[in-house]
Amino acid sequence: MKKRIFSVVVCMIIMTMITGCSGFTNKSTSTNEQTKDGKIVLKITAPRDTTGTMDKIIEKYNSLQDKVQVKFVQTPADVDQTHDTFVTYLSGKDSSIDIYYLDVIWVPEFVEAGWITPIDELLTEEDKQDFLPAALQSFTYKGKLSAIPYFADGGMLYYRTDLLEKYGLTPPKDWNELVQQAKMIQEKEGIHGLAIQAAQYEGLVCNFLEYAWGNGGDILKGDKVVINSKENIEALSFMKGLIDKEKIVPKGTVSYKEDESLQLFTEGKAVFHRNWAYAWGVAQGDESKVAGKVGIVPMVAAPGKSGNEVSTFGPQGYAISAFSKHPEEAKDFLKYLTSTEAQKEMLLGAGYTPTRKSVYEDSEVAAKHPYLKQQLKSFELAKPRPVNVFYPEMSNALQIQLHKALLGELSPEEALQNAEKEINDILKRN
Amino acid sequence: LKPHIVQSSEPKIILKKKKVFRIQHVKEQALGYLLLLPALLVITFVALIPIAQTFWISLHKLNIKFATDKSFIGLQNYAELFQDHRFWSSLSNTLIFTFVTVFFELIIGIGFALVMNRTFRGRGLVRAAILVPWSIPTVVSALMWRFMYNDQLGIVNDILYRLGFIDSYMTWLGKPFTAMVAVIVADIWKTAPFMALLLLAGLQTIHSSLYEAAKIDGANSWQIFWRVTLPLLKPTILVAVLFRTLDAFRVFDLVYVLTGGGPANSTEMISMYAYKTLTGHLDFGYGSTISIVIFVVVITICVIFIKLLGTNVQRS
Repeated sequence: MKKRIFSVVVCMIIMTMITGCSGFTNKSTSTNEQTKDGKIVLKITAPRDTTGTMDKIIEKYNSLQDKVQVKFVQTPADVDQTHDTFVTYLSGKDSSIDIYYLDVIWVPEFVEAGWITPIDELLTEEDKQDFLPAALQSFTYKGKLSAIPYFADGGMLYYRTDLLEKYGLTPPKDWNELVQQAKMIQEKEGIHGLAIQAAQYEGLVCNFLEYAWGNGGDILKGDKVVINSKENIEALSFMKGLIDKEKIVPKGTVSYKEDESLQLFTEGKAVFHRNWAYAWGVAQGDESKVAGKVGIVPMVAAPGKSGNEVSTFGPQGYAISAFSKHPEEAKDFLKYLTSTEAQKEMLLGAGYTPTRKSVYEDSEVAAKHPYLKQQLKSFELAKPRPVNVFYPEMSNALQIQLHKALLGELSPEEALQNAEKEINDILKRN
Repeated sequence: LKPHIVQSSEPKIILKKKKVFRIQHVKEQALGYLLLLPALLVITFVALIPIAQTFWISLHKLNIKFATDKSFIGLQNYAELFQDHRFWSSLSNTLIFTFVTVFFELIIGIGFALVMNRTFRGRGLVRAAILVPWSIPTVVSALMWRFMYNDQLGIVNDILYRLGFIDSYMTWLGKPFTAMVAVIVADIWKTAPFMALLLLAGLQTIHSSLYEAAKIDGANSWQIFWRVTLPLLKPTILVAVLFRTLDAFRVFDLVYVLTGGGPANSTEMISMYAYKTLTGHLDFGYGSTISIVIFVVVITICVIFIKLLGTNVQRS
């Protein structure tokens, strides 16, 4: 009997080892690289497009040629989760996905890690003239283009056309006008003056940078950290003042991300609102109480510093994986996907703000989306966040210090002093 | 059947090696160990090797942004960590969170368990109702609380204002102290039922004859609770507290969704710091160091509890 048990145990051990090992061996061979009729399968991953326009464009491409079959793979809804998913794929040198959608702040990180193929030669001189300069700049790292921007996005100032008209005002041109108008209407109408995002997250840095840039400040100058500057301290003091001195921004904003602040605006409880391009569609949508009463202007700068109406640029692009087995086919598809024609279709079908100026100039587009002119103005003045491989760490440190200043735990001077020290430490340590 | 096995090719190989052959003769103890072997192998592969690897990585400077750069730096990461202000504040946040939530969850849990242990009309309904918070996925309930705490439209403000506890709407998630309270309240709401469930199981093992004997001796219900229920429930309480302490110490999703670590990093927990370092900054060396420290703390908590538990079981 004992012997029998022993042999069973031996069998179990062997089986455990076999099954344990098989997990390591059959890795990443499961991708179906060819369809039944011999076409190469090309996989692209991007956020879900609920309108189905993306699918239509892909279908069209599939029917246009007979070598490649493109398939769409959906990413998680949350940007940070998407980042982590991609990191898992790419650090494992996975070749199942050929084209990744790239958020602008991941560029240096992915390039340094050797995860994406540079694609400079994909764009002709003519193309380069056509794309928004800030968009190309955002995806250029160490002199090389890493992704083709397909979706432009940046911060802009939304306002209530009906309220400004009621009080005989024109949209503000600088900080002072913004504060005056917001304060005046806030008192008369009993609503908030301005809705922004100031929770401790990436969006806080985006908001802060618009004031910093608007006052001539910056985070990095070349490789030098210049965050602790007079301009930045003024900008941060102004931002803090919006909450506790002028009181045009509700106190709770320190816990607001995009959705909460937008809700304030669409509920008709704010005169002005800083948000990204997507907010237009929501504010004009069926659920919004302010539909038809919304206008857009570029961000405002500090008084006397016109020309600095800079918005934080947050475009997205498509990049080709360094582990793709079909880079040439992927390039061909990308050319198609970022062409004027396809971008126009994405705009009209799914509302994706284009990255080619030629789309904005299209007469059909101009007739259907008159507000795009204003958005284009914002994008032309937009700046990317520092294109640096340590940006995520920098931003993280900065978020904490900015938040401490907004909560009044530190003075703006102290907070930026700390931030400068921490960012220098980050750069030194690595 | 017996001759068949003896004559099979397997024993022949075994015969050559005397040591293995002796297994037949050694005591049952050895067989016990052998039977444990598959489980041990599994633990080795899914737990020990990953932990060893994490420790090994923590001795390196390794940021996977730079695939080529991996250099051995000994304990430098640990030295850096102990001087890292952010590490200490996240550790103390975690300890405060753990201590306060487990304490209140235990008290509320005992209350719930005592109620659920009674026989009364609608007991099934009450039991189900108490378990609802526990059955909602944490991310969903965290989002729900986030909306409830909203400073303009949140129901928490509305209720407290109407009841007269506050003069004006508060920004619960906008101040360090109230944000921590908000996180703690949400966690207690969510996991007190789990505590209750564990304790209910313990209560049901207490034989009713003990209660009857106590009653005959003239004990009132307060005395019965302190002298009968609580001592007999002690081992279960320790297990439940151990489970919850470990869980609370590793809290992630609730805080991640509710506050994201804010305001001013006042609710950042240690596991969030590790996560941000690992997947956000891709700094695997430093991130692994934090993970190892979490592991050591968790193991220490375990050992302390198991010691307590062991002595108690013997006494009872």
